Amino acid sequence: MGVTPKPRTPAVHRAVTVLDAVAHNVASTPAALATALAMAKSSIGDLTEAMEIENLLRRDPNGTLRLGMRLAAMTGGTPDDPTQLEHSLRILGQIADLDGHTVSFVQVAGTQALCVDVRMGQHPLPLTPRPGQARPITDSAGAMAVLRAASPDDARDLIERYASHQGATHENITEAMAMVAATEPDSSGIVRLTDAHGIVQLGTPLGPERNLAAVVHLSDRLADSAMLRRGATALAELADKLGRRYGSSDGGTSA
Amino acid sequence: MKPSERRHRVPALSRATRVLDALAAADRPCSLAQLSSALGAPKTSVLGVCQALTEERLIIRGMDGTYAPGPRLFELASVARTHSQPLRKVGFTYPQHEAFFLAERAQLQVESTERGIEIDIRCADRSIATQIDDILGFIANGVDLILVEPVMSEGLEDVLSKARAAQITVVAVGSSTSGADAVVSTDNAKAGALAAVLLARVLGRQGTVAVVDGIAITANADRISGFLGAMAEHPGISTLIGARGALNEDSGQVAAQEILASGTEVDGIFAANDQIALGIATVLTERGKPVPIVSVDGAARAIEQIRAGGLIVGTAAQDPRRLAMVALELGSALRSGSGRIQRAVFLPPRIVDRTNVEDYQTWE
Repeated sequence: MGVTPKPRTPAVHRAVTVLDAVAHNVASTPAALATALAMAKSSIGDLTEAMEIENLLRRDPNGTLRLGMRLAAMTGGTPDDPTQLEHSLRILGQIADLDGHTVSFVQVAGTQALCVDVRMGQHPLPLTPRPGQARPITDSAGAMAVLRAASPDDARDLIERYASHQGATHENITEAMAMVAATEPDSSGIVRLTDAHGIVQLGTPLGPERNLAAVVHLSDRLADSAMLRRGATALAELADKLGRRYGSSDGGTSA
Repeated sequence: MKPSERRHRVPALSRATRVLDALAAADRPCSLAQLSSALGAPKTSVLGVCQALTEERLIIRGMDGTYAPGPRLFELASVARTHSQPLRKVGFTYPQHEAFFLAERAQLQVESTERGIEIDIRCADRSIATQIDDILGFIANGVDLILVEPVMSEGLEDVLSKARAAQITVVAVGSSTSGADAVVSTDNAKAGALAAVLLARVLGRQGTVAVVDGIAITANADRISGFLGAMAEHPGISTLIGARGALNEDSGQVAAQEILASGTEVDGIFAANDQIALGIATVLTERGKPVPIVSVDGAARAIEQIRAGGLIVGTAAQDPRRLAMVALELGSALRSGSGRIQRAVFLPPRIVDRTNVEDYQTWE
């Protein structure tokens, strides 16, 4: 019978357990964490103090523990250090035509589109996008919009950066590039596609660095021509507002 | 973001965080050697941290042995982003020092203290120009959210467009105003309709009713519209649009005098708010005219009259404290862009008359 080896860095595992508990509102004070996670109060006290120092946790004025801004900064910034994603989420709240619809933010990571964050909508989708979810770039309007907005050399570089990590072959890359070349964005740089789950996606590149896209996900029941027009206009507005914020006259949508 | 200068007793956590920082900063996957070099730590030490982070899915190990940010990091970062969007500064401007607005103000002070929000509260003294200055002050002060109980429903468009340009969310409270991102108000049409149903019953569905409007805000327009719509179902009652009042009893007294001076005998009166109703009641009582009055608000002095059998026979009660609370929540949701956001929230009014006045708790 095998013996499970002891982890070499138990503090890391305990810290992740604490992050999960705070993220999912299982407990939000050191005392409640100690009870919920069956850990000694002194251990939890040392750990949460260290996590606060590392800015992985922070305290509200009323003492409630929250996830710290360093986590947000690792994947898109914080209100104190604004970045495209942070601004995009704020601007999104001002665009009425996107109310109620699921909007995801994606980056190209090799041959995969990586979902960085999601604003959930009210309409059920056959596949709900989630932060951290990866899908083939050819199944993502956001990834295709990013790649179409880039020059062919830059697009290839974005894909090749992850090639050996993902085990992508030369054929995989060539095939992906051919799909990119065959994709026709509209005049505002918006790409429309129907993904493998039957969801209609509208994607637009955002911001000056261009490896970020916003994607509206519409179930086929909602994707009539009027809604698609409104969604495209709203996405163009989002890209334009963000582009103006970063001083890009084209709103960050053209190559 | 630089780690804090403060030291702690969990060095493995520090190393793990620096690995995550390094991977997040790189625009491509990193090898163990690259991470070791970036951290200035031995490979064996970094390897142990990377194995733990990989087991927890905070990072992923690729087919070539390189590392990249993992799905759980994005999940936690998304939650952190939501947690890190608290309102820090809120501005609230209201028309005048009147009990209803003071109740909204009091609730916002309670909420802001509880949530650790800095709040800048200004009174417009019934002047649209002052309210515009209030809002310009909020913009200059860098607030995250502006709550505006408007002096008038029109006239704030330009200054609110400046707020939008500064990426400040604006929520109208109590009444709509052009240029706001959202509105939270009482269902004022329903309030007017509830008052009409009560007055029609009191009058036995016969007679002449005068209507006294309030200041030029959508809340009053909705109340009048709701009242007239419900009264139209009673052909035995004719309605007259009488004078216009404001947000004080004096204006109600003036309105009552105008109605009396017109020579028309009225059997009942609908006033757009309790302040006007109280002023009307004062004049009619003095003149010995027992005309029943209905209104909107649920203010304490109107409730006293209902309880004591005065001329005010009913009021469609609002809840200013709840209006303020919902406006703060809606503003917070709009600002963070989270979930589906209902941009017009109408809270239900409740009619208070002699049959249920003892059960009613006023908001004052």
